[in-house]
Amino acid sequence: MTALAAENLVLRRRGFLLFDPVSAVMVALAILATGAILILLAVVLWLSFTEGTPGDPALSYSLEHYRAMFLDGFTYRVVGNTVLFSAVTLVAAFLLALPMAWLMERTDFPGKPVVFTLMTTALLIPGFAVALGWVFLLHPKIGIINQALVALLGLDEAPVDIANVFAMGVVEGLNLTPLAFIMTAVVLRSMDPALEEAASVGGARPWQAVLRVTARVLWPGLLAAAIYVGTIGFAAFDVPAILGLTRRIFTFSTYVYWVLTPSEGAPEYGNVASLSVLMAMIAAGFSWCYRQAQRQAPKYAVVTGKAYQPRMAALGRARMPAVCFVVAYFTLAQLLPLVMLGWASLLPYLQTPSAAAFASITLRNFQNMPQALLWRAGRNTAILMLVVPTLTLGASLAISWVVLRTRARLRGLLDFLAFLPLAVPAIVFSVAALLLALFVLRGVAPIYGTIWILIIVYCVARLSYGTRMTNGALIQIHRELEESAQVCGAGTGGVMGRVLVPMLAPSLLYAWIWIALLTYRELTLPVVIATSGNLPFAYLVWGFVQASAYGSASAAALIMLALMAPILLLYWLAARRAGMIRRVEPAGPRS
Amino acid sequence: MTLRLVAGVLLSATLAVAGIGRARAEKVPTTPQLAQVIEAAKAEGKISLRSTETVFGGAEGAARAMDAVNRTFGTALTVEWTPGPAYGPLAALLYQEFQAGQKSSTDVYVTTAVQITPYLDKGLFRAVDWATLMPSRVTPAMVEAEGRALRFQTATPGVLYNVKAAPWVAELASTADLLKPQYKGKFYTTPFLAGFDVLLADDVWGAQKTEDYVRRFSQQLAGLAGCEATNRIASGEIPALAFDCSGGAGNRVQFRGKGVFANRILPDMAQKREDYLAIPTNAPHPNAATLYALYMMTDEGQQELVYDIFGGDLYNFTDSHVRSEVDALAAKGVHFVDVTIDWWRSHPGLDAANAALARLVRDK
Repeated sequence: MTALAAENLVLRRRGFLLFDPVSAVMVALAILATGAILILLAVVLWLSFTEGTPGDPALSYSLEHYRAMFLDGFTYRVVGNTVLFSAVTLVAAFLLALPMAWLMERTDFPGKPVVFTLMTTALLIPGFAVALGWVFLLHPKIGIINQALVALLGLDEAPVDIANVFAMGVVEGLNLTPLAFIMTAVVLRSMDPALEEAASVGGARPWQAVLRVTARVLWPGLLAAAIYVGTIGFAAFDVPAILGLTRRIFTFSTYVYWVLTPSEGAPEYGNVASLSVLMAMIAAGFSWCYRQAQRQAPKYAVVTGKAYQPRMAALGRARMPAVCFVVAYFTLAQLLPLVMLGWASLLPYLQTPSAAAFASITLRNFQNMPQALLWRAGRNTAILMLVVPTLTLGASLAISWVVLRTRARLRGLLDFLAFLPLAVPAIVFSVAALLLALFVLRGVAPIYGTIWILIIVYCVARLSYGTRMTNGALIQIHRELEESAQVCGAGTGGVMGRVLVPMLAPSLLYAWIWIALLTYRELTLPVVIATSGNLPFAYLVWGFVQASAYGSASAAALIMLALMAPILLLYWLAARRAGMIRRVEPAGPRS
Repeated sequence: MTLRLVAGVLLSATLAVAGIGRARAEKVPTTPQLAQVIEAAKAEGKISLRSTETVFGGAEGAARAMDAVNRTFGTALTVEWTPGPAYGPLAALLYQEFQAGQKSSTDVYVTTAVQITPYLDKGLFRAVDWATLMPSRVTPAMVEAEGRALRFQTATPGVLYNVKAAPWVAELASTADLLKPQYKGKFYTTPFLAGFDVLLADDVWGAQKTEDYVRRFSQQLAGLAGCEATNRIASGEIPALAFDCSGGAGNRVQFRGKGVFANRILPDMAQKREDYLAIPTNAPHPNAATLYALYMMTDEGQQELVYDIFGGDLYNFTDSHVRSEVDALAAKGVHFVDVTIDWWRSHPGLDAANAALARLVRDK
């Protein structure tokens, strides 16, 4: 190390860096992104004090919404339902995702590319389809299993009822398993298996190595994934809406939606905003927990400049049970909803399989699909899927870099703000963006009715996901790699371009794909801000769902899936090239 | 040979149906005022519609309507339909767009007295001289709020039920019957208590009686479902909806004559609720919107779009299906509350009172 390089390194570590354009851009990007969150949250906060419709001269201010919220026992019931629902969701998702991630990342499980591809496809299946599938199986009136049990056992009533918080949580858990899987797989992939091998050499049995070494090393990443998935469960909408709403089981998201989209009268923005402020405060608690976990992060950096090559364990006799487990998951969580989608798309209205139902099969739902509307929606969706993940990940990387690699005083605040969008219902951000676009930005940046308003809100809504992914990936990369580059004279741009981005590439590609897919299937966010000029495909499907036109909704969802097939193929090829989908490697000791 | 024969018959049948459709294009007398609107609409060239999928059949219904409008008025308008929110949130959005100086996101707003009344004095909707434009069909009695709202359908809400899953509904004689123990957990209601708002009026049930009833009614419910849940009622998932918004689901063309639905109007809460078309002041294509609304008032529009898609039509027309049903019940002594904009204006505060009442049904 030259004296100059060493001095440079010391200066960088102390934060006394001379002007560095790349650093300045990163900081500016981070501030811009979190500033957008802050502005939208400020609008939500403002709304929570308003009485009446924004834009109306008669709008007034009061604390009435807060008073009503805290004095209404129903609020606590909704929060209780939501906590229970998200807890069950979390447990169900990780019970399935953890073993599957371990099988894919640490064993010689056969057909990994197929599993990875199917996992990616899983996120494409709309949540409402999964929920509908279970309605058709276990609804007390029309569920096939219930009807069969009633007929076989001579019962007066259906023995199983799916409309309860626990069942809703399990179904949502099935929905979120791919997300939990992907986040867990990334963490597992980043861990050097030499630690597990050392445990084995020390006499630990495999399960002891998993519990005492793997789990402990992975816990910051797993905690991040758990917080993220749990918070998504907190805000989940489609499963509670289809399984719970009709039976008066409200979670936070369905309650917000119920208040925000009344069939009579104007939406009660103030009520919704006050509820959102409450949820944002809970999210702040989650964010604080996450920060505490992150402070321990350097201890768990396991990707270093030293040799790193994962090894695959041989499954041996456990191979068949493992395959059965994975097949059972895909059957329940993916095949079943797809079959139900296909069935529903062929019927004029939903019917359980019967001679009459088969006689009424028709392609009318496909034939009557509005082609011009499909084209508009498809074009907008394609733009969103390309732009949103790119912008979101750029901003996320900037935020994570500032948070984890600088000593900026406000880095904690940036991370805190980046997490908040997860807990604030997307639809509330949409309301805030709508009001901003209509009443504040109209003279400066007329984005109302354009694709840009959707891009901004989608990016804000996805920043929490993006930053969790980039945080998790950055945590795993030891600073010694960057310091080595700096010692060799690289500036921030060089470190980013030659060290961090190449090492982060698999994680970034993963995150890009998932943000694109989340963007593709987002249902509630466009409800308020979509217009004829910017409506995305999922909103079209949701329009059918709202109208209980399940046949049309299913047909549109299947068309969506078909349109996505080429893109999925591209994803798959890109992922394989980037090493995200590994070829099966022979089991045995690491060379 | 047989295939050719079948193909020939099918082709002939298709052409015949198409021919009948064209032949049925209704001739509307063109007044000078209407001629001006037609010319202006031709210059506009298109119409933008936004609504839920259930309103006028969504995209498919919009395309059918525009084809009919073009045939009827000799225009070549194109239609752009976009899914949108329900009546209430859409009105709020239209008002915000109006306040912000934006063009409205729909040229035509389909609504009821409940949603339109709060905005009538705020300049959100334009006044149109409907009766002058089409005197052959539109009478002053069909035009309300100084031309800002045009009646196009009369809804008669009742208990909408699946005749196989809930045959017991046919036995109901009054609202009190719904409180009987044997019906507990067998029917649903709307989250916003459709139909109960009118009962709150002092000259109907009054607030106290309505609240007492809803408290007991809430304990009987299986759950909540919107008025758009007709497919779920058809499947049997929801056996009965007390009370539906329109009462016309069984008349819709896809269900008519198939014995799927029936609507049971209960005499002690019988209502005639008018539905309206209104054109926002800031509509981008107001003349095309005017033609669209006028077409709904033609004989063909009433039959092929309003009745076939909504399942109802306008009571004011002498050949109305709803009229014959309502008059038959009235002859048996059933009194219908006629819920118009004027009626709603003369009973202020009902929407807020009903929203408070709706909190009772969200709790189990």
